[in-house]
Amino acid sequence: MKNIIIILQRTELNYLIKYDSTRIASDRIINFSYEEFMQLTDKQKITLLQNSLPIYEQEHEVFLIEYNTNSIGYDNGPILEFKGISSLIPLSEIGAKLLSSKLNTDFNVLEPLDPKLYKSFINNRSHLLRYKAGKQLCSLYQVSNPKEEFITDFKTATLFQLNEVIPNGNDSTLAHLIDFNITPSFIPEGNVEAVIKAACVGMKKLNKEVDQITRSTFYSFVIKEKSAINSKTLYKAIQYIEDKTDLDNEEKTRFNKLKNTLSDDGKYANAFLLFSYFYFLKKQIEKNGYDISIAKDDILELKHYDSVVASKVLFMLGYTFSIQTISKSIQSFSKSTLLKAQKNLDLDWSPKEIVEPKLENKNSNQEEKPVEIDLTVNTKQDNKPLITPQNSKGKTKLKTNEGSIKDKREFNLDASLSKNLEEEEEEEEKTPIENKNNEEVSPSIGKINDIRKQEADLFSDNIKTDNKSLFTFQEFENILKKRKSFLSKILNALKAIGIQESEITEEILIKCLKDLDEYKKQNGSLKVAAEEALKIFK
Amino acid sequence: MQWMIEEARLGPEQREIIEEMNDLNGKPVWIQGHAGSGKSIVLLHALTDYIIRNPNAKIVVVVFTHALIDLLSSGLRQIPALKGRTIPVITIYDINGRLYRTERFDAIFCDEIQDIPTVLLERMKKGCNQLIIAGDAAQSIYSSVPNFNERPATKKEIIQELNPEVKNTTTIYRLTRTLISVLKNVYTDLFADMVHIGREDSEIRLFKADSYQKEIEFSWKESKQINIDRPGEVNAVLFFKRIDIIKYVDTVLALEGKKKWSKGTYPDYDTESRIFEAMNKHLNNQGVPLMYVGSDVGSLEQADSENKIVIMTYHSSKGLDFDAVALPNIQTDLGASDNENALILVALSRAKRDLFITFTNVMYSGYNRFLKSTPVKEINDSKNDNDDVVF
Repeated sequence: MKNIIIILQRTELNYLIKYDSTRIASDRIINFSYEEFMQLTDKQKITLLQNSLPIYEQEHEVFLIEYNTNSIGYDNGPILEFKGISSLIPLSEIGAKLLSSKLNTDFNVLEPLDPKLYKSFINNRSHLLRYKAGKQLCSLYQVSNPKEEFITDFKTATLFQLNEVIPNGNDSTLAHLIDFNITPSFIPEGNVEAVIKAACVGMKKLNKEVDQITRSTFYSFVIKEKSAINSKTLYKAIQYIEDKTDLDNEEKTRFNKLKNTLSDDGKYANAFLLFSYFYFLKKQIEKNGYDISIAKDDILELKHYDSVVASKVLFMLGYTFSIQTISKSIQSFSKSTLLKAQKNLDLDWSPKEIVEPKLENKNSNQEEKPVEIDLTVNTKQDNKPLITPQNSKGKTKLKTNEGSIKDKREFNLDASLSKNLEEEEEEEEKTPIENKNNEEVSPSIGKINDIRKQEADLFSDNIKTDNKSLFTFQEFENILKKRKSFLSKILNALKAIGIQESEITEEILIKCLKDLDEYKKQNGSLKVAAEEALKIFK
Repeated sequence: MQWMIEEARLGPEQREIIEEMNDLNGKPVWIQGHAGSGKSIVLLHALTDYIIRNPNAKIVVVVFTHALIDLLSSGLRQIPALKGRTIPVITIYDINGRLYRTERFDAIFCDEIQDIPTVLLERMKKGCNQLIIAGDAAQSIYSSVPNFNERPATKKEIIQELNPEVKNTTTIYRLTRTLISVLKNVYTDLFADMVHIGREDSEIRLFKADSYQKEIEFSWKESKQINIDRPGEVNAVLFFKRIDIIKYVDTVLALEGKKKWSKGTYPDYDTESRIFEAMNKHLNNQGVPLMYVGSDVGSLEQADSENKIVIMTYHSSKGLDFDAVALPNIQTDLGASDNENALILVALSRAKRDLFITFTNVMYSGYNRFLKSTPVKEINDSKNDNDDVVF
């Protein structure tokens, strides 16, 4: 009588004990005795375990049993009986401990699997799940996967964390990137946080104390330029750093050294951009309940300018979070009819023209905020809105990353512009142009001062419209600016359902409030936040 | 807040407990586990299943504070299976009164059992057909339950009184890796969630000063700077006792060159100095970004919207999270507390990103048990300024 190994879930064992038989999937059978199994190479063992072990989250959910081949029945699948089980082998020491409190103490429980073997199996499985998440994220944003060489490097980098090993100077900057998983308090919020954290990776790579970055030329430069850097999208902010440091020899030398260090002497192209984006998007996604659409605009902008880095950063994010963390968000964009409502991740994005104030004095602390203009303009009227009011492509936002985490501000030009201009003219079709020097554009750019003026107005409480279907996210921001946390939640909820600003109705708002459980109190009266949010309809 | 977690997002242990509870037979059930192990979520899922099986049952949920009423009511409203049915969520005082008047329930679901006195346990057991409780008796931070004037029941007393079927939740989901490693120095049975390298870790910084004045100057400077640099975050400074808060406020006001708040000297402040609402007004008038929150004074929401640093006691901070937390004065003897380990656990586990701890001269032994492997720096430690500036 030969014993073979079968993988069993604890719930299956429970039913087998209660009903004396249970049917299992045939891939749970490892056609070796435990003794024969132990003679195999580690690679063979891991492959067998990988093929037979179902997904589980804790080590006591699944175990191996030694089972007598003569007792295997068949009825549309292998049938096991209690009498066929000769012993039980837990996956790990912890698994054994957790099982001990749940199993019959008369059972013959053997020593768990070799810890080294189990660790290798776990690492391999973790890689597969992470790899899947990385690929899905790339697929969702329609970018190709990074090259295998990069994926292998990132897998190695991640293993340091999984095995709680601290990388040293000889290890890759990718390993240091994953290892540096804190935000020290000396780092201010916004885009500067992402770029300083990227610089901290350079410090770690060179075996320097991370907080010594505060003494660096790069840190001083970033702090000096903080408001300018934070007032842009991350991509534009990094471009700004490139341009501005280029004007000063010392700053340029230091910045080049940082970029070279991060690139592992050229191995990882655009590492500074890649690492900054990784930290920036990771924090945004994490702070927003692992909603992978929250950083859409930033990802699409990066994809537009550098699809290779976009591919790497998306893969890195997926790989770091792993599938179980982001599956819910990914699935929310699925076409499955199981979902009551279909959501689209609108990937249409076009660049906006930046009208930068001329950098005359490189040491000036008083940067003027650049104004970003969508290259969608009206070709017929000079004084038409630069941006389609409430268009459906999300092209209308003048967005910066100032206070981007909790209080993600969206400087929405379209609301105020369209509001004023709509009164004068009827809306007309817009034609996208590609050349920013197109003569049709000039008159519009000439309105920059007006735009600035109106941008300031966006923060007044006075924006009102009579049309119930023409509220903007910005107006919510105005009405709820004293409730930052709530504002962030309600905006995310509105955006999550794919609503366009032009479509925000009272019903939709109430639905979102209900989803957030911010609508009514137990006694039926409106909650304070709901009352304030609904004021927009008065 | 999306508080209620769908079943697919629960841990295997939590799912298991919920499944095992579908066969309730009148025997009390006790869901035990550390803070952050999802006891309340399991309780609400169990309640949902109970209602589906017993649609006409008279049910009540019992909690300790009004803040918890909002939290649990919010969780209940997010359960689609309840189809808008309102399940009453009441305080221990309400249930005590109703049971005293011999009202009966089909089922009572009681959270935070560690803060409930024996007399109420008895009443709840007698007043319903099915009692389900959640909480960890070892985690009580009260020496006497307000209004009952009785200490909370111990674990032994709960078992004696109820003889419950115990279900353990051992996995911690909420805390970061670094915080768990510190808490594990004392709570050796803590079992962290599967390695989640995506979640940002917290930083713990521990500093020693040689005088109270220097310590608070250092701590306040740090808190103030974080508040300026990271306005999107909610920051807090926590103290064991409220009189320590008064002393801290006076010290900060002096450092800022502002008018002192208290009358009298530590610890003998006069009654007026202990009116925290007035203290908040004073801080506001003086332009110091600090707000006391606790005992119906101040508000977290207001502190958040006005970008103020929250000051509160360890007790009031239970159940709350902040991005950055300063814990000054950890030389303070916590001997007056009934369960100092539980209280220190509360204080140490409030920070998500940055935990900034300071003490004068010698750290209190209770803290030392937790922080024994955390390096202590002197506040005037000069950094390696001789190092080359590389970038």
